[in-house]
Amino acid sequence: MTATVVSEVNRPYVPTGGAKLTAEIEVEPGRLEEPPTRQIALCIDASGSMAGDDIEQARAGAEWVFGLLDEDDYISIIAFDSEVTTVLEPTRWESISRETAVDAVADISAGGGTDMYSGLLEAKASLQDLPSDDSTARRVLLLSDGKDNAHDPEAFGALAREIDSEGIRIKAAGIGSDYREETIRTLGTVARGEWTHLDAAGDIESFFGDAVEEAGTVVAPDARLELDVADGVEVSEVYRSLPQTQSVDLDWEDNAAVVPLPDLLERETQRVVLKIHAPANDPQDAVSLADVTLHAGGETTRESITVDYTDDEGKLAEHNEQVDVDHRQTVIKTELGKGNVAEAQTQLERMTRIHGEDTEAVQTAERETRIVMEGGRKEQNKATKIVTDEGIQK
Amino acid sequence: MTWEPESGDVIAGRYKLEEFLGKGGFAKAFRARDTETGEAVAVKYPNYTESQNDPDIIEEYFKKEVGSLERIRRAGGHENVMDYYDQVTERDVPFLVVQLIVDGIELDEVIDQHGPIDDSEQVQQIGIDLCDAMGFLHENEIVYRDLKPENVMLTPDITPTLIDFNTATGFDATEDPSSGNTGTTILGPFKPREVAEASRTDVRQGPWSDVYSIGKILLFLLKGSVPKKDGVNPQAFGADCDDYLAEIVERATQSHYRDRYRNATVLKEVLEQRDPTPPATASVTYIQAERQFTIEPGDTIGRQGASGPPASITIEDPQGEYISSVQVQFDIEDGDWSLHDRSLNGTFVQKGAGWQRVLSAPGRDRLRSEGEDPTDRHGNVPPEAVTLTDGDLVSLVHPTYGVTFEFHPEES
Repeated sequence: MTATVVSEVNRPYVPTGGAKLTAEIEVEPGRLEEPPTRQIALCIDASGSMAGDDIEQARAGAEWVFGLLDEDDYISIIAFDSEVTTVLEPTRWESISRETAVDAVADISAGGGTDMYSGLLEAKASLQDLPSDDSTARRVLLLSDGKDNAHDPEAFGALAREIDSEGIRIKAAGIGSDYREETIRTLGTVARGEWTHLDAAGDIESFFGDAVEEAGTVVAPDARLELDVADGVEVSEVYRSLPQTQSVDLDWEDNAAVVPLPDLLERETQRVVLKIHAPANDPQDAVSLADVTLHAGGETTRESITVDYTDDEGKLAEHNEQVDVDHRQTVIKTELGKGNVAEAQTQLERMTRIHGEDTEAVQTAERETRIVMEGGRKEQNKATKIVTDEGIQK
Repeated sequence: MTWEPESGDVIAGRYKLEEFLGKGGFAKAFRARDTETGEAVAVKYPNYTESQNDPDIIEEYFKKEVGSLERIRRAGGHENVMDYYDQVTERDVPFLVVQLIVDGIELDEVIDQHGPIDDSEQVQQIGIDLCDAMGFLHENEIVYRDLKPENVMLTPDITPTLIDFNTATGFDATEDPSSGNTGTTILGPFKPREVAEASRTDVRQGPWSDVYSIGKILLFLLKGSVPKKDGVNPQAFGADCDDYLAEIVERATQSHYRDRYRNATVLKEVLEQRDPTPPATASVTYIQAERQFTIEPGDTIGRQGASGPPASITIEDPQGEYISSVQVQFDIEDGDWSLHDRSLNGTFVQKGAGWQRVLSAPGRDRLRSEGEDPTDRHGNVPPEAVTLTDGDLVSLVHPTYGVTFEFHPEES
């Protein structure tokens, strides 16, 4: 593998009185040596509202996944309505025939309520005891069109943490216009996967298919950045910027905090942006504000966020504007993802004031804000993807 | 650049625009009437106004398309490749006049509208036609690069036609043939690994790269979707098709090019025979280098590092650049092996008695244009192809040039 970590700050020279800086950390995954073994749980909403095209396409999507699996992969299928049904016990793909699997899927039918919580619990149970190591990619692929009225997004957040702690990432897709967005978003974000909006039944197959193919490109399944900050340094406003803009809650222990990362995928750059407060200090070069350690696939890679303290006005004027632009863009996109247009506009005004309305990123943010304001869930979801020079990733 | 052509406009005093046909990232198209001949044609022009792409890039791609289409026209065109008629300018906007594919629908739309194709025979026939088109392009030193359903039109009689040549190029010396691409690599399920990862892999692109793309297109026709996965058997994705076809697609889409069919000619052959087993092989021994290669029908030998469509077997040119990027091609007809010269300098074959020169038509034209006489001392014009039998010697450029192969068909 051999991943690399690079950090950058917006102001490399800091006045002796201290300053609030913006920093970004980019992780390049390194190469995929051996494709991982995949352990996939399809967790499918089979409530009454899924009847018709949706459930039919969910079945077709499951069959599509069968074509993608390799012999060593595991698959389980859970359907939930008011009850939870294990459609397919966790099964190693070489020990079942396609016909048997297709027959099992044919039994999924729509009717009843939406006990998504129990469905996810069962999906977790189906994967957690399977044999796993550093090259196992575990996924719950959740598809739902409705609300679980018995559980709020906080409860799902807690469940997602439990699922995540079993090395399982959730790819959460809401379909249609009646699902609870916050729940879907929370599941995807907390369990370090992604959240997705599907417009129509025709999108289900590619949601399942892409997620399974993507799992086959995992370079390191359990990646995290450890930030070890110097005394007096404060870190705030931490976001994942790539692959999807998501806000991150840090777990602090003394001076160390952990930024959990999605699985490192081949060819996919990850970026984390944050604010870092540099305390007052004497003029001196190369002061480390935070040691950054990437833990991934059993390897560790170190990097350090450093600045020079100085009184030199010329040096202090040096400004790496792009780092600040990246942070603001990420905040705006995250808010747009939540549908918080008003908050996005406030942030946009601030960004315009600082960087000027002619800046490309400002214009892009303006356009996206307008698109989300006029659009719906699809546009919100789309706003969380940053277009890099290489085009949209994946 | 703000002028936008409309229905009713007459372009270059000749082509009257009728219905707007559509737009892509690089071009827009109208159906038009050629007022001189009365024929219906299609007229394409750069999409400056509604594309995400930079105008310079649009222009560059537009020029590429003209270049490729002109090359195709010079080669006489092909039934499964869009014909090119004319290039004109109106109010500073360049227009291409091309064949209108009457009632043609792009393959992805065909599947969108009608669903996957259940009839194995139809899929087989489309595959054969695509192989034909690809073989033709390669013979004329055009690499298509981006074979995908959007770039293939299907007529109601199920004949596919390749359209959109803006990513295809004839090679020129300024391009790096190893990457086969001048721009950003775009990943897609129709591209084999060696093309998608051209900048990071040592695996050579070659005729087997198109074989992969055609295989993926056949899966798309059978199933309506395509994964990025390699080695895909349509039946494993639930497609209801003949076994031979499923096996052919699986073999054509393997990760490693050595596991695929060697070239479009072989793929066409197995599709026609409805038998996934590749046809007869032969071997050629490069005498001076003491290296042996296995060949299949359609395989080519060419110069290593040349700018041009990559040959199946590439060799270092001992004296510079006299060997063409594709020098010779092997084929099999009615069970007999043959050698076709594709070069400018010609090839010599020794069949027991003396050496026989073999020279492509463009090679003969070149000699004549340089005031030389291509005929041999008996006054005979060298043929473009000869039959090969066991033990024949094949010398590139000239018998004394230093690149001689000994040919042996293998027992099948």
